[in-house]
This record gives sequence, structure tokens and C-alpha cells, in this order.
Amino acid sequence: MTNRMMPGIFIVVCVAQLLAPVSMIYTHETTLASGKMFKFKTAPVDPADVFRGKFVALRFEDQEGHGETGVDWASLDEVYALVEEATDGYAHFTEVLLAPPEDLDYLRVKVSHTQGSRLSLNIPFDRYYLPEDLAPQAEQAYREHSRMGNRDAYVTVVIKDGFGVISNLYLSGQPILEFLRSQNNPEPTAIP
Amino acid sequence: MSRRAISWLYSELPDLIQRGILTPETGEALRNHYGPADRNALSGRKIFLWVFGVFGASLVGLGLILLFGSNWENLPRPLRAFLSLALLVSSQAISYSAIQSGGCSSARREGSAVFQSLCVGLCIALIGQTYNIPGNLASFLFSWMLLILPLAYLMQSGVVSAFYLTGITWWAGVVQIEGNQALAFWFLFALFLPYFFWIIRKDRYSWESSWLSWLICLCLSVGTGISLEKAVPGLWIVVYLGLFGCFYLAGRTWWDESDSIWARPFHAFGAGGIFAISMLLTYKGFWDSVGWYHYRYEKWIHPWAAWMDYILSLTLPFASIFLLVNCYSKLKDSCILYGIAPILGIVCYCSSSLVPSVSLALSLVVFNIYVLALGLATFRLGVLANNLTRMNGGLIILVILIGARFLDTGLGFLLRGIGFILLGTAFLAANLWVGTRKEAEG
Repeated sequence: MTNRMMPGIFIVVCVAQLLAPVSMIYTHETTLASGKMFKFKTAPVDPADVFRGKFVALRFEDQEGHGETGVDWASLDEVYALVEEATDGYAHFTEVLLAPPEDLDYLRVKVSHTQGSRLSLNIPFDRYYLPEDLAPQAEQAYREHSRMGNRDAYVTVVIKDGFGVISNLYLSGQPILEFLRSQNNPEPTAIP
Repeated sequence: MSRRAISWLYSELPDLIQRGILTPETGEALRNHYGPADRNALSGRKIFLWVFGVFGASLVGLGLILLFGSNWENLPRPLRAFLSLALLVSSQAISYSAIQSGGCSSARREGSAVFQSLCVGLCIALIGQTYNIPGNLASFLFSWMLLILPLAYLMQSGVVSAFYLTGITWWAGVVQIEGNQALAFWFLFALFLPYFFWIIRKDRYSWESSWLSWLICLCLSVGTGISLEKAVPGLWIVVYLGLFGCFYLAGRTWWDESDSIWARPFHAFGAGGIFAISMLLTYKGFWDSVGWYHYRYEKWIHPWAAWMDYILSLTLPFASIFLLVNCYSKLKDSCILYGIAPILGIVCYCSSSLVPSVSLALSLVVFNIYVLALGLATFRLGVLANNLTRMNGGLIILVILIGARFLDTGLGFLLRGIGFILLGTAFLAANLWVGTRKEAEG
């Protein structure tokens, strides 16, 4: 490689290095801008990830769909789970398909295991990032709410063409940051 | 002329000049003709600058990772995405200026390459954090390593290549733990090889060649174990003895001019690996249920990925046999003892697979005798060459083998105690004897 070629090749490498994050930004921004929003009920916990700051790990209450029997679902790299909003306002998985549907909302998922026609799905969202000091509080707040039998934690996910992006995490109907701020600084009650 | 010969010649020059065999002018002319004995040796100042340059860049990069990772939720999402990209672009600009300045110091080149490599990972991680992208360490490492590999070539950065080697080995481990197969490890490793060949072509005894070779030995040894699909039990015996045999014989063939172990990584690592595997093979447990008849059909086995196991178990031993023949024609019998290990491995593995009832005991005997021979031969060579390191190496092999057999057998404490005292005494006596002999020879 001659020295004259070096800057040119270096610029090509730099463009490739930039393309990776830029394509991630583009995919997520277009989904957030033009996708359809669903609410998924969750169960947060709080592990630490040294590389990416702190986050609330997400688990979902509804992780099951139904699929044809006789198909080795767990061996497939990707399947398509139809998402519908139920009467309670939360998203539920209904049918799982081998090919993406045309006019319905769906998520690209993997099947972890099957039991007859019931398929256990690996939901492709597993974390919601929070400021370092708030992540432990978020977990504690969830536990307190759970103790009161008040399971009202959910995430909003924007879905487009099988791709989903988490837009927010809610506790008691409030975005998590607002909820934690209101817990830390409760508004003074009016003196009669 | 070889490096060792030039060093020898230079050490002889003062004496030759003093005796009048050569004139000082002729001595100087010889020095000018052959150049410095150690052409690529780094001066203390250069090493100092290099180490601190790389260290500084790594610390800044790691500091930024922690700073960005800690708390920036208050910034709007587009600004966070912009800042992530801006960080990467600024690190690219720093590297570009280092490339443009042409003959800039290796410290600056390495420092900017390391900083840019860290920024690539940081940028992808920050975008992941901004959009709550699911954690997938394997795909993160894979893209990160592929994106930084060109920097090793373009910036001629040994640290980035070391980073890459470590990263692909880490990736292979993560993939295997997740229940997938890590065949791409070999592809990723092959992408790095031209850089390594370029480095050793410049000078295979240079500081950079040496530490990179040590790292290659380590990563290949770990990566091989991780990427094996292990469908046929015990195939690792043939693969690992072949791999370490190749290391040892390649070291003897192409890195035999230096006396320092540090400058002969393949030789030292290969010999150590052959001893370690041979020692394991003196235990019965490693020969149980090996071979085709015990093929594994578990769900986590990918039969197509197991083909790499078969390719490795054929190519590595054959490559080592080829190197052994080549090495024998150059160095005669001194490379036979360690170099023969892959052949012993193949013979014992095949016989233990086909007729386990007879061959199991035979394989154990063969490898016990082999390790004993390794110890005795290394000890003898050390004594003959007055080389304390080699002599003690031989003694350590013997002590480990005898100690292991002592612990295996049901001998009482008294006999074991006497055995260990005798071994220790032999150790001390041999060292004292060689030490005295060296002193007497001046």
C-alpha cells in the first residue's frame, strides 16, 4: 500500500465506522416517527452493565403466542408474532407466523420453547436505560407498587415493519423519570 | 548473516582487534557493513513514550465511556445521538492528522489508533443506550472488532491488533456460551494474519513481533478450544497436540536465532503446551469414551460446525509432521522429542477409539514414558549447555510427573515424604553442580 493511497483508504474506513451507528440511528428514528405505539406490561429489575451505564432490565407478562403444531419453531432464527391491543389497553401476542403479514402489526421474535401450539417468545426488548442514580430507585418503586397489588408498570413500544423501539417506561401511568421525581419531591399538600 | 551471528561477531571484535588480527579500521568497516545487531530495538525513551502514549489514550477513552455511560438522560435524544457521532468523528480527525504528518512518532500513531478504536465501541454502545437497544454482547463485539481491524493495518498499530485478537477471542467465548457456534473465529483470525506476516517480515525478533506472537499463541489456544464443536469426544487431543506441535516446530524453524525465551514465543509456548497436554493424557479420565463410537447427538451440537473440528484435526497434525520433517533436515534430532507429540497423539487417539479395551492402558503408558523422556531430555540438554533455565525446566517436568504419580498411588505418607525429599535434594544438587561448573568455566 503506497503512502498516497493511505488517506483515501482511511477515509473509507472512517465512513464505514460512521455508517454502523448512523444506520442504527436512522432505523430507530424512522420507527419512532412513523410506527404504531403499543403498551407492554413489564416487570423491571436492576442489574448493572458497566459498558452502557445503568438500566432497568425488562421482562414481559405476556410472552406467549400460538402457532401451528408440527413446526419446529425453536429452530427458526426469526418468526413473526402478531401484536394486538386487547380490551385492557395492553398489547398481546396472538398468532405466530412463518412469514411477515402484510397489513397487520407484528414483531420479529425468536421462539424459546414450545408446548403444543403455545409458543414462548423471546421479546426483543430487554432494557430501559436510566440515569445512574435513578435506576435503583426505579426498581424499589416498582417493588413497592407490586406489594400494594398495584401492578401497573409498562413500556410503550413503537412498532413498524416488525421492528420495535421502546419509547418510555411507565409506573402508575407516569413516565418513569417523572414518577421518580414526584416521589423524591412530593408537592406540598394544601393547608385548610 | 543472522542476528545471532552478527551479535557473536561484534562480541569477538574487541578481542580480535586487541590481538592485532584485525585493525580498528577493519572492525569499524565490519560494523558499518553489517549495521546494528538489533536493528529494531527500541530505546528506553521510545518505549517510555510509547507506553505512556497508549496508556494515556486508553485512559481518556475509558474515562469517556464511564462519563457518557453514567448519566446523560437529561439531554434530548437527537443531541445524544449527535454527541456520540461527534466523539467518533473527532477521534477519526486525530488519527487522520497522525497519518497526514507521515513520520510521526509511534507513540502518537498508537495513541490515536487506540483512542479511535475505543471511540468506535463507545459510539455504538451510546447509540444502543439512547435507543434502549437489546443487549447483545456477541453482535456488539463482532461489529466493533470488524470496524477497528483496518486501523491495525492503516495505523500500523500493534495495540489495536492486540485489542482485536483479544476481542475476537472474547466474542468466540460469548457466542459459545450462548449456545451458538464460533466458526467465524477462524475467519476473523485469518483477516488479522496478513498484518502479522507483515510485522514478522520486517523483523521477527522485534519487540512488537515478540509480544504479538505471545498473544497469538494465547488467543489461538483459547479460541481453538472454544470454537471446537466437540461432537466427537476426545478430538481435542489430536487438535491441541497438532496446534502446539506446529507452534513448537515453527518456533524452532524460524525463531531459533535468539537465546531469550521472550524472543522465541512459538518455541516456548509450543513446548509448554505439549508438556501440559501430555501431562493431562497421563490421566485415565481423558482417554475414557473417546472416538467415533461415542459421537454426541445433543441438541447443542451443530453437525455442520463440527466439520471445522475434522478439518483442524487433519490439517494441524499434518502441518506439524511437515514442519517436523523440515525442522529435522535443518536441526537434526534436537526437535524430534517435542515435535513427535502430534504423531503420538494421533496413534494413541485412533487406537483408543477403535480398540479401547487394549489401547487405553497402552496410551497411558506411552504418555507417562513420553513426559518422563521430555523431562530427562530437557534436563540433559540444560546440563550439557550449562543452561540453568532449561535444566530446571526439565527438573520441573520430572517433579510434576513423579509428584502426580505419587498422589495417584496409595502410598503412605512416609514413602511420599521420602520421595519428595529425594526429588528436592536432586533439584538442589543439580543446580549447585551446574552453578559451580559455570563459575569454574568463568
